[in-house]
Amino acid sequence: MTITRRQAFLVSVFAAVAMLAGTRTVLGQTEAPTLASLRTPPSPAFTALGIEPSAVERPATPSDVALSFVSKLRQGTVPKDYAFELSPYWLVSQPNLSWSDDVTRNVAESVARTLSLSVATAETGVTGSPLTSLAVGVRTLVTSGHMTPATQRALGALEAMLSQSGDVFLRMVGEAGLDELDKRLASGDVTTAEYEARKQEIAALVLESDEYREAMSRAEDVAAKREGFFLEVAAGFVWDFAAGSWESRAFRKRGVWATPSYDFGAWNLVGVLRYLDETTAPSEDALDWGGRAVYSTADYALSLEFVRRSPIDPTETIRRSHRFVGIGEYRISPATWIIASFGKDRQKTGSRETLIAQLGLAFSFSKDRYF
Amino acid sequence: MDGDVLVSDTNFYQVRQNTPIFFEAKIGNGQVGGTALRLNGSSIPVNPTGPTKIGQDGQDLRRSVLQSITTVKDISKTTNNTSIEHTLSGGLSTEVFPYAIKVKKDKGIARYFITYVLS
Repeated sequence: MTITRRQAFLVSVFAAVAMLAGTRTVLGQTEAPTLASLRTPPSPAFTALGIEPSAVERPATPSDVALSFVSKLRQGTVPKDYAFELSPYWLVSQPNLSWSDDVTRNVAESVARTLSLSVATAETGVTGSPLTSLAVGVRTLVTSGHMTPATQRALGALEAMLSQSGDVFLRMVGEAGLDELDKRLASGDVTTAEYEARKQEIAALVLESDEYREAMSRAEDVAAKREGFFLEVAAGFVWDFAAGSWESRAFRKRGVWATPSYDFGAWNLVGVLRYLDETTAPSEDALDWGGRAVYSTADYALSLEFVRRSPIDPTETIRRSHRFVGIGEYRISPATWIIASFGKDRQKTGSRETLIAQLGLAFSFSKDRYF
Repeated sequence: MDGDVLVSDTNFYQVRQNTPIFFEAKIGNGQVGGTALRLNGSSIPVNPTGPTKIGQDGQDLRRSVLQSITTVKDISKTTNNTSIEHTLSGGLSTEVFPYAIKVKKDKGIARYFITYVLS
């Protein structure tokens, strides 16, 4: 990677700003959370429980779901260290849903196609006082925008390419002997079983051929992208079970997340809302909300981010606070970005006002770097 | 190729004397795919958005063989299931031939290599 003189200058400027601000910087002491940490989690049960399970069961059929639950619940106690996630809509085949049917979605279609349920358990007690916690989560997109015109064109082109590769395949299997075999089948000289066996042998040969592989190499992956208005919502609930007993359950915590966003041209607007309510620590309950406006091009991005934290309980163990940050990003190579953040944290019930100044590098090959 | 799967089958379809039939392929599960056809060794252009006419007016299709391959690529982040429905109409009855298979990994390809013997 080579860095031009102009890029080196920009790096120096960013570094100097960070060093000057560093005398007043107190990183990691912000009361209000970062915007990214407030986004709707992909698996609310895991987030509510505060775990990142290494193994998650993701059943693909209704019978897999039944088998998973039966094997776990048969033990008579709350299963330990169990993580489970499923998308009900996709548990069964959807033969009537073509990709073109999914270009736009009404609310019911969006909710159905994006709904996911998560369940997790974890040992949260201490020695001598065993405690199993169970979390249940749900997540969906109430609205999920529409497929971009570029994606639709790419999928149309992929369809045509796959059809062309099919032409190559059928020509090659015909030349490899299938045309002759077809005549024997049509005249009854060969049984269907014999025909199928020979047909599959010929198909296997063609699939391994260089000519067919070359034809298929043009079937490039298409990452379907959607744009427009999105509203992602999630909720998670946690119960504690002393000694793993179903009868000793006690409700502990609930969390609700909402992330509305809108893409238009170079602009991206994102809002976040998180409500956390924990019965065992009511003074730490909080409502966090905020938003981010991003203007991005291929080479740079500018954004403003605001987050506000409000305590739910009047005892206010946590403080009312907010953070307001401006972020500049500049690409110095196809996958490397310099990121500079500058802003402040403010705690309403205290006198401190904290300056934020950060400089860093980020590596990303994705065009969707924001959420 | 790694992650790809093949479905192969042979079916019989009864046609009317000297009458063309129609073939339509539908690809489900939000996946993307394309179909190719050959009738008695000759390629037939496929209408990707509706029925494709097989044979000409007055052509006797009995004892013909219609080869089809529908190649489906997994583009879905939420499922690796693929499915197709081939519909043959214009013969003695309209018949639907549904198939489904799961690709072995994300972005895999499912090939449905289906033979129709016209009788």
